[in-house]
Amino acid sequence: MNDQQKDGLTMDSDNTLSADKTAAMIPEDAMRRLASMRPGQPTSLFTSDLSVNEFLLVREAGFRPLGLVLGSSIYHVGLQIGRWSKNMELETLSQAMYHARELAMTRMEAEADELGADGIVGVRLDIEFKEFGSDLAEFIAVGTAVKADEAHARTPDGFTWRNNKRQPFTSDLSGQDFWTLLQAGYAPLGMTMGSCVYHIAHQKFLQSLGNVGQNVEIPQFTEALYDARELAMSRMQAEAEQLQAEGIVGVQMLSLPHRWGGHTTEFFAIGTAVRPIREDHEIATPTLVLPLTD
Amino acid sequence: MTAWDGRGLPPAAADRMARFQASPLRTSLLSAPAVVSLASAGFDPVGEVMGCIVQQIGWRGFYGGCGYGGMGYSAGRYSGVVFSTATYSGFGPYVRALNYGWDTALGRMLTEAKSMGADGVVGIRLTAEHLGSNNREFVALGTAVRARSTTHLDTPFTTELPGTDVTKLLMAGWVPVALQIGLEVAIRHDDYRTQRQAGSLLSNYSNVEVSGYTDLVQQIRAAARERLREKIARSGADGGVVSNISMHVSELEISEGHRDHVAEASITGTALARFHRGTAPPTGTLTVLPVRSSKVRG
Repeated sequence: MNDQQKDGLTMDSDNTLSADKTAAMIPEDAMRRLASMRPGQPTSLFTSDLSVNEFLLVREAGFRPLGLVLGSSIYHVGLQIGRWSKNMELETLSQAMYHARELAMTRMEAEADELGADGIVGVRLDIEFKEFGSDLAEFIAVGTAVKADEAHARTPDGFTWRNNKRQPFTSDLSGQDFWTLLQAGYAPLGMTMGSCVYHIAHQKFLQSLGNVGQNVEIPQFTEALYDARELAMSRMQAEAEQLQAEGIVGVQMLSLPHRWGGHTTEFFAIGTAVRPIREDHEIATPTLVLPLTD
Repeated sequence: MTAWDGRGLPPAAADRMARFQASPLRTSLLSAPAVVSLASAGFDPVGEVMGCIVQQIGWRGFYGGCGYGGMGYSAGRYSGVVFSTATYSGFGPYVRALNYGWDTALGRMLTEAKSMGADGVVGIRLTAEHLGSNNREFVALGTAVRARSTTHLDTPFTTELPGTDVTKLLMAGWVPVALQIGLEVAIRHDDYRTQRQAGSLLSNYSNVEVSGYTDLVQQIRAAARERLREKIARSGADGGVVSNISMHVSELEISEGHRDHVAEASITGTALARFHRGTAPPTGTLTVLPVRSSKVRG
């Protein structure tokens, strides 16, 4: 261990030394490249929705961005009203929220498939209710299609990067998380999600009267929230099982009120299903740094 | 005040350039980390630069709806979406006006940068503001930087990326080429099917995709992406990173009961070129754990 650390240190100092040397070359090389640029040269052009950090890390992880891909669906969300004093799932709304997102995702995947991508990283899923129609919402999925470099066109355990549905993998992880995941010997399989629109019962008048001025738990509210979250999460888990995933990482559990009033809320669970691609899952010990900025 | 004919720089900007030449004072809009990091990559700020234009957009190029021409009644084959590139109808003049606005603002900013001997403009902020009903102001504001090198550029590179991001790119062997904007405007008529799906005919309790609107937004974003791609390709770059995608849909009531929807999409990105020849980039990533107070979310 000690030897290794020592080696690490000397290597580090070498690295910084050479980094300094290369740093001095950077403006010269960069300016020469720009000065020699001929507009209209044929290049293998890519576009990406990644931030600079993500772009560089995805490159370093051995993937090339191919293009920005997106899919969207404008959906008329039907109407369903919960019983005043009953905890219940509003299936029509749950189905709408799920189906519309799935349409957007599938269209995005189709674009990536056309580009010959291995996967889509940095996927964002947004919902925007439109002003120009009642109950109209746009569901949009945006991401960057990527392809593995020639050197590792297959995963270390010999499979393709695509998932068991032969579709490009999708991941809502940032470029930073994607890099760390690969370093640790895991590959993303696909985004998994579950949605549940739930109507939470109103309190009966006498019941709320009985609680006036007291600090008490309101059991049916607690129960409703538990129930709704559980439904959303179990649906997400079922998707991951279909992908034969080992687990789901980066799960977000969102409560989205949308515009159905205070008692109807969408519970939405989303995460990235992963599988191991290596036996060991060790990553390099991080170096501690003290940032001088806030 | 003398009248200015619109060529070159406005008198106030020209005066500022003259002051810049005479004074050793250097200004920048960069944050402290941006200045330090750019310096480590061999670039120094020379001054802040700006370009702006106030333009009257009186003629958007569209009159009447597309419903009467029959284009909107999607009978299977017709998609019903009319782009700005359409010959007889469409928002061609409007898109050309928007493009002219951005190009001029960026062009004037570049003129200032050139006269400062800059090699690039980083951290460009683009803003468009409505002045009155028909006038719009396009502004481009950034910081000009100069490379510590023997080769200098006739036309500085431009990017909306902040200085710290530019440094990271340079360290990894990529250099920004030019800020590019992909713009497209299209219109689609509400046909019977759309009205039925959107529930505007009778109250609609069912879940259904409004295929007409989906078609409009899919196509408009695809077209804006294509415009951006073309511009990046024309600059000779190797690729581009997108920093902003925006879309706005508005409703036009052409006549009683006839509604059309206009979608305007714009995508902003920076074209990038690769300059390192070898397989490995000049510097790699180091896994670090920042030591900082847990109050600051890292």
